[in-house]
Amino acid sequence: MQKYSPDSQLGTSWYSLFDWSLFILTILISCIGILFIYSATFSSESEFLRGIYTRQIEWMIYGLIILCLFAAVDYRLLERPAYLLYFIMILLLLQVLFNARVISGSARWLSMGGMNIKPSEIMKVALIIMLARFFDDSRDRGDIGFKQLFKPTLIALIPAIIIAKQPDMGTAVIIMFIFVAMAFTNGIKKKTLLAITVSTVVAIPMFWFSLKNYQKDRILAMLDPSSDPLGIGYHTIQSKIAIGSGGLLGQGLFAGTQSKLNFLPEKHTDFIFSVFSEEVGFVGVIILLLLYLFMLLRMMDIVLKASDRGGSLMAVGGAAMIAFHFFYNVGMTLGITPIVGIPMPFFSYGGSSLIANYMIIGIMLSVHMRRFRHD
Amino acid sequence: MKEQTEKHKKLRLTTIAFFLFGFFLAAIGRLYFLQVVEHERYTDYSKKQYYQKVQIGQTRGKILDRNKMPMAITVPVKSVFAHPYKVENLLETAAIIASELKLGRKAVLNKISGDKNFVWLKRKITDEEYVSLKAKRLEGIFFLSEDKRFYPHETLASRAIGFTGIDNQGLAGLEYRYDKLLLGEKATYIAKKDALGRIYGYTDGQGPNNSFEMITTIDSRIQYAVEKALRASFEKYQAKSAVVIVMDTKTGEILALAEEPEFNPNKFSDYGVERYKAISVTESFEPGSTFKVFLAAAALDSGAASPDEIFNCENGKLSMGEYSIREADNNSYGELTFKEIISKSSNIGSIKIGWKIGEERFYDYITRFGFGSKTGVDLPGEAPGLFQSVKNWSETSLPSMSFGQEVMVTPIQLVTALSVIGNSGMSVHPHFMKEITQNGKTIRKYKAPPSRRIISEKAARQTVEMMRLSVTDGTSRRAFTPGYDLAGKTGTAQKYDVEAKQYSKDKHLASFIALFPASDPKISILVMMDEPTGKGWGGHVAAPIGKEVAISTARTLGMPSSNDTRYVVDWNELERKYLEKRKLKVQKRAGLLEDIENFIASKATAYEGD
Repeated sequence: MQKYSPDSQLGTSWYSLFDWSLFILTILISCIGILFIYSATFSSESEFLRGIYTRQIEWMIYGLIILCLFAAVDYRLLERPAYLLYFIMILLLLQVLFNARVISGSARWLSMGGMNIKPSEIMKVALIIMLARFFDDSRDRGDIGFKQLFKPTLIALIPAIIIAKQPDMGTAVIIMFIFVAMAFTNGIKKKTLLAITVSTVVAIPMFWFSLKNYQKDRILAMLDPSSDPLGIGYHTIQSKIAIGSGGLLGQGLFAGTQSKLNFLPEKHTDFIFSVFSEEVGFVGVIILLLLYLFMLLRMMDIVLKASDRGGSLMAVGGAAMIAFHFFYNVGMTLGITPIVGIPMPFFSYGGSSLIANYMIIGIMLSVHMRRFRHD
Repeated sequence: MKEQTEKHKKLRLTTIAFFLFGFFLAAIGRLYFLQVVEHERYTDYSKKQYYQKVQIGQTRGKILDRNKMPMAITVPVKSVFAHPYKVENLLETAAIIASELKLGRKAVLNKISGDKNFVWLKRKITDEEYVSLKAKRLEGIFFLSEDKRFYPHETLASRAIGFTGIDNQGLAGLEYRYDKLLLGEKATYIAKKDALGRIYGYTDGQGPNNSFEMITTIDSRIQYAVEKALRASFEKYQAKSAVVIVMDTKTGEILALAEEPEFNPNKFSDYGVERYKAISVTESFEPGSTFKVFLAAAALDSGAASPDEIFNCENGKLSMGEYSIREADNNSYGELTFKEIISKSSNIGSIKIGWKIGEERFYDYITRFGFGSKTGVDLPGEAPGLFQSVKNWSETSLPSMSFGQEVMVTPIQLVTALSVIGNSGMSVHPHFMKEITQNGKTIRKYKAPPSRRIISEKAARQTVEMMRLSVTDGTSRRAFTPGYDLAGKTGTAQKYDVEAKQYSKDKHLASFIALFPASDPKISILVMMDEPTGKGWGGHVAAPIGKEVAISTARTLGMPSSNDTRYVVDWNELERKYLEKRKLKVQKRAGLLEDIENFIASKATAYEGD
């Protein structure tokens, strides 16, 4: 790593430039995550579920290796194969769509060498790199208008539509959100921004009618969960009960009844935050939220200090991705946002998601380490 | 220009940061609301979800004999089931299970490869099967503890006790009759359950109590002796079926009810349905000469005839229009007293007595003795017996009924009516249930309906005397037992052949009824053997069994024999002796201990002294 340090000419070693706080926060949150994955599953009847935390540890180790690789490599080198990467991921998404295992009603998984991988997770990273490359290549510096926005919109829309077809509306929305965050940071003309805002407001009802029934149900159930306590509102109600019964100090580690007695669905993936809240209570939750807040603030700092537009855009995309996941998942468990399968970053069980997140952290660390270099 | 972009960038990021903090505050506000403000409410919700009032059946109550010896108990056994979706290697698993549990491999494979969530593989397996299968550690195969009914004495009193099915529901006998009582009331408990409704514990950490017990009137010692005697004869005569009932004459408590062919309730499924029934209560027979006892009682009570009245028995042949009646076994009698007619079992004499009583009166008496209606014994499927009402009687009806034909009675009716005579003419109610206890406390006791007078005490006494004469000097001689004062009456009924539409020459129902001691009857006995081979006369076949039953019952109950006291077992005396011996032993041991203590103490004192 030291060999590759781009800043060695400045006389500073890589480790003094390295963002240790972001790195440690990542590992800390991941470890707490694994602890609560264990808590959610250790009393399970299924042997597979009982062993799931060890799989998450494995994923974390792979993730760390990938993180180090991404951190060591100059992020600008990542822009070079951006088109190829993007193209391959699109192909994989199509492959999944037409020829994939169906898990809980949607086709999201690809079996590769014994591992189940969710290409849509990796797609997010590929898209961030792709958009960074595109905006970087563009000769239009400064705010852009509709005309210039057409191509990057297309770049984001293609994977978003494929993913929405799986159907995985949550990830599709995230893809679009990443695009919006990156385009916004890159600069959009005020008029254009206004027009987009207005048309979005108009588009929402149209969007509603394009939703599948179960997606509509979920949104409706979020608005009034008690209307159908055993059906669609079940997830929300159980999650709220778990969080609410946690109280100020929680029921104690490994002692949450909602998760142990299987009332809480998807407890080790999408609803891990509820398990956590039930067991550690309000005080514990505040501490975890602060950890995430620090992490996001670190990311914003990296965005600000990035030495070039490409780095800044990649960091913005990454930060947007992590932030959206985080807020959406917390909102979902608290019964604020509709239930869609969006995991808590670094915290929920899930290999592909963890690897994608670690890639993002790797890129961020890379951007940060190379912040003093000037073109 | 560049500076401006920087400024823009900062502005944008400040906007983002503003939203960021906004979201955070919203989340924390929401959390505060859920976890602090509404905490109690959600805790209540949560408890409502995992606490549940459940009603749990008790372990089925035991059935005990009158001395609290267990006749039917409940033991925990394992049952095997599969969650087919969890089974890994279908073929291998099926093969192992098939060989371990002795099932068909294909059948097992079909079960575990189906799309059901849950399938039973085998209910209630043996301990050996459980240990051996468990060691195989098969994926997707699970065990569940279940209650299994077990009858430790196997065939003993099995027709009375009955049996339960796979789900411990009473299917026959007392198990069926007292099913609800034995099940007990369901107990309400607060259980903890998971989202699938599976209960994994109780808040008070206790399961329901299970100490319901039913104490029956059966005395397993007598029952055993009776079954032994009956089985030997049943095999010897290769009869179709056979019954012995021993009843407490005064109370109607049934001390033993033995039936052949035998039936082991532990393996009830090995038998046909016909074997489940207690024929003592479900089947009706033409009793034959034993019925003359009730004819005598009716004649004596109504004053139609006195014991020493002389009747002309027509030298063995009585002509009635186209029919002629003969005595059994080609006997021929001239003039006989009423007493002799009963003791020698004269058919012609009985007809003449019957005529003296008259149709209406005789019908009234047999109805009062309980024939033609259920006795109310606590076994399922009781038959009421059958005879025509007087207006349908033909000319031959009364004569036939006088010696026990044209009337169908169940064994339990016969022995109950017999007990009426033994009980000085007062009604008797047959029953098996003595009491139900819970935690050792009696919660229900048998309560007999009020006793009614059926015949006068004098008539009852005189009838018993006639039966006594039958044993000492009549057809029941084979039941004569030196030292035991027996009163009895034999019966040999020709069986009506439905196909030939006449009474069969070689098919008999041999029977014997007895009361003893004759001076003050305490025990009523009925022996009935259906279609014994060979010369199946009541006197030959049934009376000896009756004798054996009487002797064993007397010995068991400690009734002294007048001339031979060697075999009388006084159980109370025995128990007293045993306890005394034990007490002595305990005292001895205590004495020894005291000696040792004294010795040690003396040593200690000695030591202190030094």
